[in-house]
Amino acid sequence: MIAIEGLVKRWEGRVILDQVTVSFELGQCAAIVGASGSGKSTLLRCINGLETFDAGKVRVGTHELTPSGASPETLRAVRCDVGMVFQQYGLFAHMTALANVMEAPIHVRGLGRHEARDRAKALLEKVGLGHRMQAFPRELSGGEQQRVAIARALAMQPKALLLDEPTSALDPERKRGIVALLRALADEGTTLVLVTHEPSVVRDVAARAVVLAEGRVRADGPPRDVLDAASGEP
Amino acid sequence: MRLRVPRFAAFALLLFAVLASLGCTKEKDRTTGALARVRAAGVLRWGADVQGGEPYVYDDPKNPGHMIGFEVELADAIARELGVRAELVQNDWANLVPSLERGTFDVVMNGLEVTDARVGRIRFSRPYYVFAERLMTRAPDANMPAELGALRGKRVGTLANSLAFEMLRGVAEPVVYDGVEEPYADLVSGRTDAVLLDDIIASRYGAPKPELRTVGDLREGYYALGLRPADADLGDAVDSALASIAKKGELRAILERNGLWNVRQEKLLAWTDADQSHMLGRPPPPPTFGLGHLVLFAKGAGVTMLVSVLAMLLAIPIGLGLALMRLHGGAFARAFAATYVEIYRGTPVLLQLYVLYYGLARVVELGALPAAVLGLGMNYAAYEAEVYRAGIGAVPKAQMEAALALGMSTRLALRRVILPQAFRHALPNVTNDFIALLKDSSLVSVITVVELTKQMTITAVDVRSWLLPGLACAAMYFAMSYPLGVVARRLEKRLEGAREDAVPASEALP
Repeated sequence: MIAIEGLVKRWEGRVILDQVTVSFELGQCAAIVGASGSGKSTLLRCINGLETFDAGKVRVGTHELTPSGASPETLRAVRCDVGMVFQQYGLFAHMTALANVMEAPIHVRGLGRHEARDRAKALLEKVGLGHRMQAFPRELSGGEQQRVAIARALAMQPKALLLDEPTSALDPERKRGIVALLRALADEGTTLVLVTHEPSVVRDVAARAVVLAEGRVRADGPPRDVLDAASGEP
Repeated sequence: MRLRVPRFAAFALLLFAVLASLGCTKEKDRTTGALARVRAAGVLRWGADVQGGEPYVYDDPKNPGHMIGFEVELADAIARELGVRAELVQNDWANLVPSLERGTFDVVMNGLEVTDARVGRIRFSRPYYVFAERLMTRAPDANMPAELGALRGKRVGTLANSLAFEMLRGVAEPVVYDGVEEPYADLVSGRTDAVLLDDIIASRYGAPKPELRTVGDLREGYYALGLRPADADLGDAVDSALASIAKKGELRAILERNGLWNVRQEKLLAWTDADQSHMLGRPPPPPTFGLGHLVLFAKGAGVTMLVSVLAMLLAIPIGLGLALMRLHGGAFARAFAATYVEIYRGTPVLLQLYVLYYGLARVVELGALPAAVLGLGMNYAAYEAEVYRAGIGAVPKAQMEAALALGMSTRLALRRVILPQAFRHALPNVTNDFIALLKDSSLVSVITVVELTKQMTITAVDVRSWLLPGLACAAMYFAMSYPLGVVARRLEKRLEGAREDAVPASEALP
């Protein structure tokens, strides 16, 4: 589904990603782990074209991103195929939770208002926010905002969902709530690729862990084996 | 709400007190001995505006910084007769009489025409020049009759508060200027139908233009020195000095040297008391400031509002375009927007209006009102661009990324996500800018638009007082801008509240 080959990314003379080759399958929940500065967030951002790269290629379904960039149509297709959830949520501050979730299906997918509304309501129920649909982002807690962000990404019915540090801005209790939600999504067969530096999140959610260090893939396998092997590195 | 009314009243009272005290400072300790005071100081201070140019008072091109002109020579001669020396005090022409009353100088001598309005306010000396009100028009119209009635309904250029302006009012549509070159330039370009001004001005600034013709002279008038009525002895001394200068042949010599002597001037040499009282006439009592003036003020306020609103409606989209070019445009668009903002912010708006209306008259011919709206709008667009740039910058970057990640194009993300929030951030500043624009709009009087401030200065001369017209004018500006200020403050407060809620403290990042 997502195949990355020989990806190289340099930034201000530093090599951030060094010949990264890795692929993610449909229906699988994988975690990319590593210390901060290991390049894991950059890798995620390269997958949906928020970041350009210097060599190698990224294939998402039938679409391909290369160092020379991509046409707006390709970018749009890739971004519709892989949704993204950010550490800082990035909710649209002037819209209610419901409007946040309805926005892209209407204006990008061309869905009718009623259909978009029904879909958004169902998704907000699913992430446990059925009672907060009319709230504005500033009225929501961090955990609630992250749930809206997940519902918003799912509303585009992507083939895979990328999550960049989805729990690191949350306190322990809210973190547990988000982990439970992600596990439920994974159990349903949603393709998830999440970046995190917290081993507990990996163990609870992912079936596979990819360890990055200094821009290279160090280990790749079931979390139990890989995390033990990688222990000693935070 | 209960607090706001007394505060408003207190402010109005304060404003009134300040203006009233300004109005009352004139006329103190000047009832006797003005001549003695001048002699003791050894200086006769005379007020004039160098901007009036040749041949009145102007900078000597061969000796910059040194003033020459027939009025300079005359001032020196009068001072000599009084046994003192003359000292020129530069003063904006439109305010020569108020400055005289405030005591900035002892006499005014600067092409000050003897008009009914002025006779009721200041003491005039013997005249030192007899001028003619000369009517000029474009060559094809030169066969029009040389009479006032022929100007009915026509647009006629002249100087504000001049004798010609008094004559035109109620007959033609006077178009008022501050300078002497501009009326003729506008006549050439067809913005006006004729110009009525003193023959001195007409022969120097109008006659050299090949497109223009002199129709004829409508009436005669006099230039004389203006003094404060209380300075009776100084007035008498100036009159005797002028009589002596005329008798000696010096007045004729000065006028001849400056190319101003003609047959009309001969009566100056045998000027009698009877001539003087005929010149001054019996001025009708000055009109009191009343309802009619308030109606004119309301009309002026309407023009002020119209110019301001239209200019703002122009500034908002241009400013938004510039801000987007600067933030999301290519290298050329970015450089263009940055240059636009720096040039428009870095030069005076008065200059921009001059260039747009007079400077570009040969390229694009704009009416006064469109030029005013365009000039102010393009200037304020530079400020709006910066306001929107800041407003867009205040929207967290994560929202733009989230929008792009959802498959939106940059354009769609700007329209649906960024700009609605940026406008909210910018709104208090936009309101503040509009209040500033409301007051800056008084500058457009330099390109002949009669708005509230210009109407006030015209009326102040009519009723011979600045106090009531000034207060009424201030009250009208205040009535227009105060509600906007309240709205701006409320918006600001609401926005601050919203910003505090934005990041709950418990969720803030480590």
